[in-house]
Amino acid sequence: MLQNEVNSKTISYKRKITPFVLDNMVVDYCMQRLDQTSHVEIEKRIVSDLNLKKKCAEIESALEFCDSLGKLRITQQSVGELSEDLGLQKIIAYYKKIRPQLILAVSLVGSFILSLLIYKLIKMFLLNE
Amino acid sequence: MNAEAEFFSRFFALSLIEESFVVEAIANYFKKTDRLLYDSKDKDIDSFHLKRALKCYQQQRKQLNFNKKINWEFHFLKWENMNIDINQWLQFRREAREDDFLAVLIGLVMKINERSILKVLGITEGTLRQRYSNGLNKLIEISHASK
Repeated sequence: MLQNEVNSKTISYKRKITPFVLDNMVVDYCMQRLDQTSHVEIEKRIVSDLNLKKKCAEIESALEFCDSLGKLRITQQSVGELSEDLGLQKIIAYYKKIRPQLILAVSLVGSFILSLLIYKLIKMFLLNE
Repeated sequence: MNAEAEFFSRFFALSLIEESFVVEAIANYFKKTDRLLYDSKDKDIDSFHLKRALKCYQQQRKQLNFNKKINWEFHFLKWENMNIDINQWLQFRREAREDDFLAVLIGLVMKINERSILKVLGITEGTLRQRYSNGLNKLIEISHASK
C-alpha cells in the first residue's frame, strides 16, 4: 500500500537556468528524476563546477539518511506491546464514555441504600420508644 | 496488527516523537478508520489513509512543544536496525519548517507515492519539489553543524 510508483515521473527544465532553478535541478538530479536533456545539461555543469559537485554529494548523503530512516523496522514484539496498549486504551475510552451513566447508577444505588438505612434506624428508634 | 499498523506507527513515531502523543495518534488512527473507509466516497485508498494519518498527526501536533528537551525513548518501539544518528532527525524535527518537514517525512522517508501526496496536501509538483529541496538543505546544514 501507499509506497509505490515513487518518483516515476521525470522532470524537464525548459526555462532559463537561474541559481534558484539550478538548486532544484541538482536535487532532482540526485533523486534521478530529470529527463534525458536536463540530466545531460546538469551533469555537464557538475563536472565543471566543484562547488556543485560538493553540493550534489551532500544532497545524496541527506537522501541516504532519509532512506536509512525509512528502513527502520519496528520489532514484532513491540507491535504486539503496542496492540496491548491500544486494547487498554480502548477499555479506558469506553469507561470514559459511560462514566456519566456509571456515576448516576452508583449515586442511585447509594441513595437507595442510605434511605433504607435511615428508614431502619428511625423504625428501630420508634419501636424502642 | 498488520503492515499498515507498523507503517503508521513509524510515521507517528518519526513525526510526533514523544511516546504518549504517538500512542494517542495511533489509537485515534485505528479507532474509526475501518468505518470511515467504508463510508468514504473517496475511492483512492492511499489518499484516504494519508489524509487520515495527517489529521491524527495534526490533532496531536497542536499540543507539542519541540523546544523543550526531547526524550526519544519508547517502551513499545524498538527499532530492528538502529545504526543511524537519530539526533540529527530530532534536530531536523525541531528546526525545519513544518511544511518542509512533512514533505521530507512522507515523500523521502516513508516514500508515499507522490500522486497521493499532491492530492492530500493540495499542492503542485513544483511546490513539493521546493519543499524537498528546503528540507534536504536543512538536513545538510544540521549534518555540517554536528561535525
